[in-house]
This record gives sequence, C-alpha cells and structure tokens, in this order.
Amino acid sequence: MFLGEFEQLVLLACVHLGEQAYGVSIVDEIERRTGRQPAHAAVYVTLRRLEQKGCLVSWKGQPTAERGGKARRHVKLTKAGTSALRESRQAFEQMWRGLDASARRLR
Amino acid sequence: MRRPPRRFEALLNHCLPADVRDDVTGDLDERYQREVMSRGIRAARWRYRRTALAFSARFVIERLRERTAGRINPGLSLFDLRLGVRMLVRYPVLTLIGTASLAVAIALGAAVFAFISLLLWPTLPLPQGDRVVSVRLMDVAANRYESRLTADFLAWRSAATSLTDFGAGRGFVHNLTRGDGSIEPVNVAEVTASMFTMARVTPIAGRALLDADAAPGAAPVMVIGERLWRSRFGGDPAILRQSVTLADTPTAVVGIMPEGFRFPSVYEVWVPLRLEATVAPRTGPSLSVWARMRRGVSLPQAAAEFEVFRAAAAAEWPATDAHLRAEIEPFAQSSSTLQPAKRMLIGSINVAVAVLVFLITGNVALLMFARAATRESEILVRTALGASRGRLIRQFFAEALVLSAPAAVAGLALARTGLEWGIQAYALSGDGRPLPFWYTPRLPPLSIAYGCGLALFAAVVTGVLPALKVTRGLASRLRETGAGGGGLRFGGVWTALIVAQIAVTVTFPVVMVYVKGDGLQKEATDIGVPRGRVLSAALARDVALPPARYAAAVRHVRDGLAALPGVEGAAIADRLPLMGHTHYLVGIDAGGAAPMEGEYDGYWISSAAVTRDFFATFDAAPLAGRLFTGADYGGTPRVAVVNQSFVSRVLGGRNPLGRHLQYHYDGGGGGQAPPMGTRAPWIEIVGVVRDLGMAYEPDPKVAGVYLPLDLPSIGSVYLAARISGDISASTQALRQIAARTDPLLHVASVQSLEAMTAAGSRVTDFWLHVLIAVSVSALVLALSGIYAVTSFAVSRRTREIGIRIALGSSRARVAGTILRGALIRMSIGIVLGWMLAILLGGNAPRPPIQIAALLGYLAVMFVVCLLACLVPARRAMTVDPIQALRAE
Repeated sequence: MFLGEFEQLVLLACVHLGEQAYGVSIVDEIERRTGRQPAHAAVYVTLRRLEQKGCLVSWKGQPTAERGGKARRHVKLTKAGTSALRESRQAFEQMWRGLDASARRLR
Repeated sequence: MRRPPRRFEALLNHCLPADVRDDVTGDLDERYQREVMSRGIRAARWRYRRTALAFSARFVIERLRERTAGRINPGLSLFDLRLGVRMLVRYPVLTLIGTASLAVAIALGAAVFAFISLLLWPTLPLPQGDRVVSVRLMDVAANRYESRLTADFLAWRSAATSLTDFGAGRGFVHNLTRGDGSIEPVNVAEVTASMFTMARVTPIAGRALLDADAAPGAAPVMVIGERLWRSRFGGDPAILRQSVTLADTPTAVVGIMPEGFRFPSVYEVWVPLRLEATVAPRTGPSLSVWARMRRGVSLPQAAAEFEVFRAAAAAEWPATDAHLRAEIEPFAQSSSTLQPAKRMLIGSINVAVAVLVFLITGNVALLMFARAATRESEILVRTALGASRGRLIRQFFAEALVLSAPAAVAGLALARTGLEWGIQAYALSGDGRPLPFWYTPRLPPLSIAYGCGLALFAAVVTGVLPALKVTRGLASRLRETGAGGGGLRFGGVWTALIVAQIAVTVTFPVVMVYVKGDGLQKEATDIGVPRGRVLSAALARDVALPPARYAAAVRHVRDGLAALPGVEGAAIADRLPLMGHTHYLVGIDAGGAAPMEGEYDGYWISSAAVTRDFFATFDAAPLAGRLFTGADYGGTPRVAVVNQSFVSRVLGGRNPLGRHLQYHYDGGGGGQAPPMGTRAPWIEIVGVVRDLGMAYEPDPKVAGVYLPLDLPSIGSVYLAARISGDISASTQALRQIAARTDPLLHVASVQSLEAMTAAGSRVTDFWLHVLIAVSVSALVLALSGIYAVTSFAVSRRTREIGIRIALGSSRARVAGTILRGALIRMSIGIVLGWMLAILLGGNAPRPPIQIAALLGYLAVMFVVCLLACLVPARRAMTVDPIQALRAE
C-alpha cells in the first residue's frame, strides 16, 4: 500500500505521540515539527480514511468538561499501518538514491 | 467554561457524519477553551467559526465524493459540466446576456419571495423564535382585542402547561436626557423580567432585569439596546454605573442588550413592569402577553388548553369574560394588521413575479435554442455515432446548469441588496415609524432555497426545452439532410415569447413614467414658500404629561422659535403641507354645489387643524373673506377656511363665504370630531386661501378645509417655521428650546419640508430602480431574441435567398421578406405593451408632455428593435447566389 504525503505526515505524528495521539494533538504535532499549519478538516478526513484502510485503530477515552462532555478518540498504528509507512519510506529512499552527487541544489 | 458560537456548532452537527461528529466537535471545543485562555474570546470565536466552516465544507464534499464516486448523479457526468463551461467561453455574449438576465430573474424572484414572506409569515430572529407566541383575548361582541389582561396573565402564568416563560409588557415613548441636556425620544418597553429568559438572549454587558427590580420601593433601573448605547453614550462601558434621566426620573442603566434585539417590537429601553399581585378581571393597564410553547406542544394543543381556561373564566365571571375568546398565534405574525384579502393580494405578487421569471428564462431558452440550432451538424454526427436522445438532452441540461449556477450566486447576492432596499422603502412609507425588529435584510433559508429552485427551473427551461426541440425527429433528419442543412424551425411558442418580451419592455417603462410622473407632480406642488426654508418638527406628548401642560409646552417652543432672529414665522398644525392628509367626506348646505363624484353622499376633502399663525407662516393671504381670529379657538370648531380647489371642486366656483359644510365621518378639528357614524354640526366657511400643498397622491389639486386647532385635545402636532437665515442653526436652537421647555415633551423628525418630501420620493425611487432593472433586462433580452430569430431565419434560408437573387429578385426585396416577420412581431409586442400599460396605469388624465414622451419612447423602441434586425438583414442582402447554391 502506497501512502500519500499527508497520510505519511499524519501516521508519523501518531508514532511520535504514541498513546497521546488524537485529533488536536496530531494537528499540533505536525505544526510543531514541520512548521506547516495543516487544515484541521484535512487531518480528520485523513484519519478517517486511514482507519478505513486498516492503517489505524481508534478507541474512546474519558469524557471531559473541557470538551463539552465528549470523549477523545485516540488512534494508534496497526501492523498494516506500520508496514505501509515503511514501504512508503523505502520507495522514497529508492527514488533519492543515486541523486546525492548530482542533486546538491535540491538540498 | 465558554460556549463556542452556537450557529456554527449547529452547522457542524448538521454537516458532519455521525461516526466523527462527537470526536470533531469535542476536539474543537477543547481547542476553543484553550484559545479563549491564550488568545482571548474574540480570536477564539473567529477561529472556531473559520474551522467549523472548513470542516463542514470538507465533510460535505467528502460525503458527496463517497456517494457519487466521481459522478454528480447517474445521468450527469463531470465531463458534461466541463463541456458546458467550454460552451460558455465559446459564446461570451450569450453567456453574459444569459447569466445577467437569469441573475436579475433569480434576484427578483428570491427578493420578492423573501419580502413577501417577511410581510405575511414573519418569525422572530430569536433562538427558536417560531415557538414564541402571543396570547390575546378577542372580544367577539365588540370585534376588538381586550387588552386589560393583568388578571389573566397572572392566572395563565401559574396554570398553563402547554406554554412556559410567560411575559407581559407595554410600550411608551419617553425622553432620554443626556448629561449635556440634549433630549431624544426613545421607545421604552415596560416588561416583566421573564422577557429576557423567554427571549434567550443575554446582555452583552451588565445584567438583564430581575423580578426584584419590579418590587415596591426598588430603585428605578433600565436595560438599553446596543445601538442606543453606541449612539447616545458613545459606547462607554462606564454608563453601567451611571444614572440617566428617563422621562423625568433618574434611572440607573444596569445592562446592554445586543444590536438587533428590540423585543417585543421596536424598543431600545426596557424598564420593569410593576403589576398588582391580585387584580379583578378587566382592570389594570393595557398589556401584551407572550410565552414560549413547551417542547413537543403544537399551536392547536396550546389553543385547546386556553379554551379550557376561557370556559372556566366565563363561568366564574360571566359579565366580563363570557364574550372573550383566547387567540394564540406566532408572535411576529400576531402583530400583522394585514386583512386576509390584502394578504391574498400580496401573496399573488409572487405569482406575477414567477410569470416574469418564466418569461425571462423562456427568452434565455430562445437564445440557447438559437445556439443549439447552430450546432445541428454536431448533434447529427453524435447521433450517427450512437448518442441517444436522452444523452444529448442531459448534455444540454448540464450546459444550462453551468449557465444558471453563477447566475444563482449573483442573483442571491443581488436579492439581498434588493431586500435591504425594499425594507428601507417599506420603513420610509410608514411615516417615519420604525419597523419591528424582525424586519432584517437577511435572506431566510427558504428564500435561498427558492432562489436555487428558480436556478434549477431556469436550467430545465433553458436546457431541456431547446434540447427537446432540437433533438426531435433526429433519425429522419439524419436521413434527409446533409451537413450544413437542417429542418429546424422556430415554433409559435418562441414567437409568442418574443412578442411578450417586447410587450413587457414597453409596459414597464410606461408604468415607470406614470409612477415617477406622479412623484414629479408632487415635487412640483407649489406651497408658496421654498420648502427648503421651512423647518418642521413633530412634537408629541409623553403619557405622563398632562394635556394642559403639553399645550403650554408646545406654545412655548413655538414662541421661543419665532422670537429667534432669522425666523419669519412659526405655526402649529396637525398636518403640514406635503404630508399625506386623511380624506373625509363632507356635505354642503343647500346653496348649490358641484355635482357629486361617484356613489358617495358628499364630497371627499382633506382637512388640517391649524393655529392662527399658520397662514402667515406659509405666506398665504386671504383670497376672500378672512382668516382665523382668536375668537375662533376653543370648543367645537364653528368656522373653516377652505382652499381654492375646494371652491372649484366642491362648490363649482360659487361664492364660498357664508356657506356651511358638515363632516359626515370622524374628522377635523384636532380631536373635537363627532363619534363615528354621527354627523358633526354645520361649520361656516369664513375665508379662502390658495392651495397649500395638501397633496394626496396622485391628485395634487385636493379640496382642503382648515379648522382651528384645539391643542390640548390631541397628543401629537407638527411645528412649522419659515426660516430666512441659517436653517441648521435654527434646527439646533429648536432642539435646545424644546429640551429646556419640558422633559416630557417629545421632539422628533426635525428637518426641512424638503428633506421630508425627499424621504417620500425615496420610496418612488426604490420602485423606479426595480423597474429599471427589469426593463433593461427585458429590453436586452428582447433585442437579443429578435436578433437571434432573424439571424436564425437568414441562416436557414440562405439557399432560398440565393435562388431568389439568382432568379433576379432585388436585394432590398429579399431583405424586406426577412424583416417582415420581425416587424410584425415587434408591432404586435409594442401595441400589446401599450394596452397593458394603459390597463395598469389607470385612466387618470395625463399631461400632454407625458403623452408626448411616451409616444417618443415607443418610436425609439421600434427603431431599436429594428436595429437588432439590421445586421442579419444586411447579411441576407450580401448573400452571393453562387456561393449559397454551391454550399448546398
């Protein structure tokens, strides 16, 4: 399974956050690490799509007053998600290999 | 805990799929709370709104994508839409004309629909405003509403189960005095504290009224509206700790309600309503009562419960309550005073506009048909390659949809502006009274849906109808015709459409000239003094102001103003020149008079009650007899002064002096009128003055009667002063004198007579703008229709023209043949339009200049229509017979 760039960003944020990965924290993590402010809606649509593809599983946490009595939905990578991420990385690395000398200007 | 913006919360709940709804709204809530702490509430709310919109749009698109998997619906592909966009670019003139015309049609339809809905089915702009009801008691014996409801209100509040949040109130106008001593009358509502909980609107600063504020001995407090806070107190938050004078009582401001909230209708100040704990039925003040329907309760269920209450009350107090029936209605609708017949009439405007919209879309369809006809070869080739008729029709529909979609967006934006205009014009026609707060220029969702429906309808008419015609009998045409030829003809329906279009183009401007012409006549009415030099003001009485003190205050203001340098005279009257005067029916003594008009037993006249100095202020000397003297004032009016039109219209030019007139119905004298249905005493005519602009549209030459004004008997009069110096200085001086005179005297509408009449002509201008938009749109469409049809005829008849010229026919004759059809259509359209205009404009005699202008306009119309045919006719004349025959 090949992942799009944004899907990879979302999955990587989940890996970084571990047990603390949920919508708000993922948005913040991507913003913190990449300096890009991702569209919130895009993150949620991607999370939903990744779960449908089997790359993620989700579960509900405890409801809090701060969230108007609603629970957080935490997410975590599945085995399929981990291998999809690895495949995507390998594909990129293959594409970069051999360009090191000639593509200095790309750095 | 702060709650995020509710509407956007609701939007999210509506747009998000159920499986992510709680997760997303929870996350957004969490982020909102954090941002309130870190960035402040404004920034947090702004960001929440933006994110909510983005989420809603994203998930709606996602949902559509999942559902259709790349196709809009099984019949319509994205490819069709792309093709439609390409056609728009390829025919830019048609795109421009079609989109603009459809936009005007949709704007007209949606704005009129919204305005009519606002008039006929208004709803309160409060949370769940449609659940707020008014509770009234109808006196079926006297056929009027019983307003002394204190006892009923107290009983209902404790006993009703179908309604909750009961409240009651009444309205006044009181003066609000600022620190600098300036005074402004404001609309004040005395309400129960429960009004604020019922309305579900919280103050933007301070607090709402409390039950304790109405307790005996409680300090006077008031809540003010945001507009008043900003305009009168410069938006200063410190006002909450201050006291201002309302009427003549120092009152503490305790809260500020948000902009746009004026419940129960036009109020900007709310003070506590003090009610007796126990009162007998049909005693106490006049009140309005309102409440909210409980969840799950319908209007009939609430009405049924109140029927039970009424039955019990009738049994307990038969003398006062047996003839009273409870009426429960949606609150905003209960304020409407429109009669059922008038409601029907207003509702039927929708139908008229729908016909107009149909006409415009029909004409765009005509253009689309002409475009489709030029693509006949393409259609035949596609059919030969296996495209079904349905497939072709779908493509045409997609092309029309692409044309009507931007028209819908532009049309709805235009509709909002139109609605704003309409409400302003409606407010101006109400004699300066403010409109209830539910008249907001926001397009209700139903109107937006109606506008979108119109766009869809336009797409069907402009896409499917031409497609049906162009694809009829494709198989036989495929056999019979070669490339470039074709058997397509414009049918009778299209011809009728063009004729109707020309008729509309003629009718609207003619009606416009009539309407504006009447306005011009009013402007031209001469009142003897320049209207820009007459300062007018309304002086009204506060309920707390005794009549004698009011009369003294009004006289004091007049005398103070008259004593100022640059003021040549000041007077008081119940109506001023150029205001709408009420019509009355009068009888004349047996000394001879003009023949009566119509079936009435008397003569229609206008009447004004004036002080002695009125005629001098308007520089009107007696033309015969005398003017009023001090002895004429006090008690029932016994003498009258009439105008010249009265002498000619009522008396047929006879000598009016010493003659007598008698009011048949209520009227005249500023309150000394007899009760309805009885006849007043005879009044002697003692003098004649020139016409002073008792304009009552559309007839400026109104027979007028002036009576002596009895000031203490009425509650509202107008002051008029003729100014030779600086009118703005006099305006300031008038306000200062009034403020010093009596805090309970209301002064409003301080303006020159010129400004007052300008407000009236703004209403006319509104309709003028509407008519211009419709006329220009109809004219452009009619011209393009004529052009398309003639051009189409030339291209269809190229071979015939070639043969005719080859056989020796002159080119001018050929052009004549081509033009004949167009000329006949134009003539029929113009004559029909003219007849329609006469029908709509009424048969009132028109000045020769108007008639000449209209005839000139018709001639111009004819020439313009002819010009539209010239290009195709010229093409017909230049057809080369050899080329034409070779092409076939």
